[in-house]
Amino acid sequence: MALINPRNPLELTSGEAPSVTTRPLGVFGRPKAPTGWRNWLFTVDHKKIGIMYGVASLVFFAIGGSEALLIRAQLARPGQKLLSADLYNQVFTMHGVTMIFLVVMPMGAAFANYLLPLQIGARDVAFPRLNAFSFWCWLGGAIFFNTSWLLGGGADGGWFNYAPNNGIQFSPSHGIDFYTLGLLITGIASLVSSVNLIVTVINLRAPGMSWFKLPVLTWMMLVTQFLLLFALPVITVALFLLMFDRLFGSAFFSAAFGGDPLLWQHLFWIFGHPDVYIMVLPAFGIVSEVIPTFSRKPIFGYPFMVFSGIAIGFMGWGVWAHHMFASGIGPMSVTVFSLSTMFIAVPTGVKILNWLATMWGGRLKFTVAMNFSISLVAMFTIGGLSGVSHAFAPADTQQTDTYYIVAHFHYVLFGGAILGFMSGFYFWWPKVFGYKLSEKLGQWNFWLMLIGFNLTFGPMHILGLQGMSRRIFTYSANQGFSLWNMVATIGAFTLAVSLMVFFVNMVISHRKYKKNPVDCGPDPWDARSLEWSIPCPTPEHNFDVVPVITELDDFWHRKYGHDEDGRLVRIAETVDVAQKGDAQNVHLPSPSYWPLVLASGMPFVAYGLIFTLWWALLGGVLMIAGIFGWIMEPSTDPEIDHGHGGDHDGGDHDGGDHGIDGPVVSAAGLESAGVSPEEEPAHV
Amino acid sequence: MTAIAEPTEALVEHDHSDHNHPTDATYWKVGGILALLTGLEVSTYWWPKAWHKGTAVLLIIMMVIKFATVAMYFMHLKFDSKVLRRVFVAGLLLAVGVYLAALGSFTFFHDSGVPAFSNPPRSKPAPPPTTEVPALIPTAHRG
Amino acid sequence: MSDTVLAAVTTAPQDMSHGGHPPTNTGISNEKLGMWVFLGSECLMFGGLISTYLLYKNRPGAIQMRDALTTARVGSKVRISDLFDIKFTSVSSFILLASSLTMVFAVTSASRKDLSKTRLWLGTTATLGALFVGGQVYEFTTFVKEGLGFTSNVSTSAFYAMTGFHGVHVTVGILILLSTMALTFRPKPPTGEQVEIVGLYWHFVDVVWIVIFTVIYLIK
Repeated sequence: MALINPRNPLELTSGEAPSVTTRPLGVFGRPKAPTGWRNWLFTVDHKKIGIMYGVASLVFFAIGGSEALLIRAQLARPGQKLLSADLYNQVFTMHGVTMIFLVVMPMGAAFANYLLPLQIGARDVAFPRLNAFSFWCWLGGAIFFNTSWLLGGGADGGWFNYAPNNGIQFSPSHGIDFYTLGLLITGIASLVSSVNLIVTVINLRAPGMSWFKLPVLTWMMLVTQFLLLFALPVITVALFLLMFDRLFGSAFFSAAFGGDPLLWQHLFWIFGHPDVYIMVLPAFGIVSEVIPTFSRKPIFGYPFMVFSGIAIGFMGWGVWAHHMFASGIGPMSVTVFSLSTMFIAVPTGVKILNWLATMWGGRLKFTVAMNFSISLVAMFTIGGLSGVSHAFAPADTQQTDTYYIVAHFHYVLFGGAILGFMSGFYFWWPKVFGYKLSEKLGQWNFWLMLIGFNLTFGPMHILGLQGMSRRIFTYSANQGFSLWNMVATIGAFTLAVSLMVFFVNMVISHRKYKKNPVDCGPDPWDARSLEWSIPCPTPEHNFDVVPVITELDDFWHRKYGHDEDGRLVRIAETVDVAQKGDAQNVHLPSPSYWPLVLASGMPFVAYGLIFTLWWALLGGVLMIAGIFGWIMEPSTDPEIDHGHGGDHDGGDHDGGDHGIDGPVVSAAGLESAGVSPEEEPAHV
Repeated sequence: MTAIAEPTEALVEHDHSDHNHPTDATYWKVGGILALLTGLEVSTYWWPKAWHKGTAVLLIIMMVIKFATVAMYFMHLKFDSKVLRRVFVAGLLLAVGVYLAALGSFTFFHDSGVPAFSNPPRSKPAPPPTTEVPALIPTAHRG
Repeated sequence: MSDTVLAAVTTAPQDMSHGGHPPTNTGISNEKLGMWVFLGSECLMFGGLISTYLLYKNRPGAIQMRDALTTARVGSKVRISDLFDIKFTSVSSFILLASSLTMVFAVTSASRKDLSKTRLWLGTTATLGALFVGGQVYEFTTFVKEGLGFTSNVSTSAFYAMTGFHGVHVTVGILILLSTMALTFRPKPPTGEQVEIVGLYWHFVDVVWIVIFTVIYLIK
């Protein structure tokens, strides 16, 4: 009774099978398959898309990880001959780009896609078809980028790909063309996705969920999406200019011809620094959910948490040139960016402090998820402190391009982002799949990862300060780098083992669940936010009724209250306050072919630009077909419309408004449209 | 039963101010003003060279006015929800700030007279080494 | 449980007077908000291109340019801004500005459900846009005939990249306008708000040109 559905969408007449048959183009029907692989290919369900992001990013994690192992194997001993210098360049570049653009960023997108609508009590994202498009577009770009291995070698300019090394003169293979075009495609995907998620959070919150009742994870995801929104166009410009340089003979970044290599550095880092926060803020959000849950306390200083997140997002725009202290940008710029870089440590410090204060006096439960979160707080602090040491320009000029930098950014990206995501995997696994991952194997996974991580990247601080420069393919025995390189290599393989344990855990836990399916209930961790008020795994339609929110951590406050002494007391059983997930006839956005068709054209256009324009023709045809199919297709299938009133059945709205879904789909969050796929066969 | 104490809070953000959309006459007026401003802008091309600096400032001011007018009236920002204004202006200001800073560090505004963007004056480059040259000349003579 | 509160909850979101779109927290439709969010992002895209041009406009630099592959050749010493024809570009600017005005009338007609007027104004806007693009094509061909192509020197590359991107945006806008016009012939014509969203994109392209015209063409 506490859960009131003001919008009434669920009391729709179930209706009989409609007699009208309209086919959008006269030829194609809509995808119908309720199960099997087709269901995944054509889905517009944010949960499935989230899972696909997660799976794909884990696959690329394995690829990028193998590249890392190659690097470490090459550097294990002085004078190793495993990789040639040229191949080494490709391997570390591909490792960096893969880990950043194909692992950490999409892993954040996986959590954002799956959890955002659930945390704000929505039916789906604002534009479900665009969401599917984002995923396929990203995947297409990612695969395209990796095919460079087979087509003449990968990119070899480092992940930030400085000019003039990125010009044809110094990198004559097609690797960097794959880099520019691949990142352009994944950039389009992320941009579309950021628009989508921003609109979702602004527009589709459940009634009562005002800005300061949003879970911290949602806040951090929102800040991340804004950073993506504003940062991606900058890298897009840079990549376009580089593409013109390499493929069409201009000279934007070539000093020999009047261009300015520093322009690349500026454009890249104006994107690149916010990108650092794009990668780490989602993990911060995850930790801000996990720590309160396992401390059984509300997050300490919620408003500070939110504002420090916003402040990080905002200040992230004013620090980019600290990556360029060694490039001669002048005393004025160095001073300004030094100061701003020191300042940005403040909001980050606020976050660390708040996590500690949340744990202080809490009844801590050291589950695997909690362990990963605590280790993030510790490891990120180390990475943050080495980051502050870069803010001091004189020190930075010593550290630039040494392993000290490598150590620093692995501490913030692995110790920050990846540890946070691992925590998220263990925490939300039951929500997504209906069973918990084994805690026992999980603890093995955790300790191996923490130890392996510190063994790998800790020694790099020392190596860097000893003067070992990054991106060299080997070193000689008399340089004194041998010991710590060997330690780092051992650490890297320990990390690999820990990841194997993670994968094994997935398989074993799944098998165990299949053999003996024990229902873990909607709320296995006794957690706080809205997604735990619905069954595990999340039903197709998310919420039976749209919840009305009255407090921060509303679900928790439905379960717990305070007695006169202010002590925590349970006021309701979880099963009584949780939703049953048994709603019938919920209208959901219908699956569609077109996002996949549209997205599949893009890699072909890119191949065309590199090799022969015939490929581009094929890609263009696919894209045009995709756009037209998209526009002509009502975002809700009229065939399965349950007499829902024509008031919002926009049909073929939005003549070409960038393919943004029409009003019907926008209904998804509140007033759902279409029928849940379980229902469909009855009407087909 | 306090569960729905303030259930519409999130909905309070509604502002239905789009009821007072301007009339066609207003649009014609706005269009006229824009045309006039554009005319004035174009005319600066034939203004005397001596007015150079002032003209540039004036042009920037007129550009900002035109930009704002189109955004406020034609794009209805003035009459629409504040959320829209915020997201757009955020992007706009960020773009202006970030790119001005980047251009500033390229010493783009070196001679602009704006102290905030001018790098400290560089010390004059040392004169090219000349000691070597006289030594060479006698050799030439000898040859 | 207070009935009044419940009534407020149940009725408020269901009135579909928000311009026909389903209820949202802000009262703005997802599409419109999405478009504005996207336009905010576009600011940084054009900002980058304009800054690139500003940085390179006076770079005589080393003017050796190479062809798409490796053959070295000598570039031009002429800056692209030396060839600007202000009179011609002014006319173009007026045309694009006028198209913004006609777009506004297309939106008001569409919200009045006056289909024939909507078509008329959309058509006029598209025509004016096409005139602008035509002018740009003419301008480009003139420059190329004068010897300044895309690869002549960095100032020309930056100029063509920037105005080219703008031109592509205008062209896409024209296609959107024409598609919207075509959709008015269908049984369910686009609503006023859908036309308005198209209009937002169009006006944005116009304001970008306002900036380009002043910063690139007029300021010496």
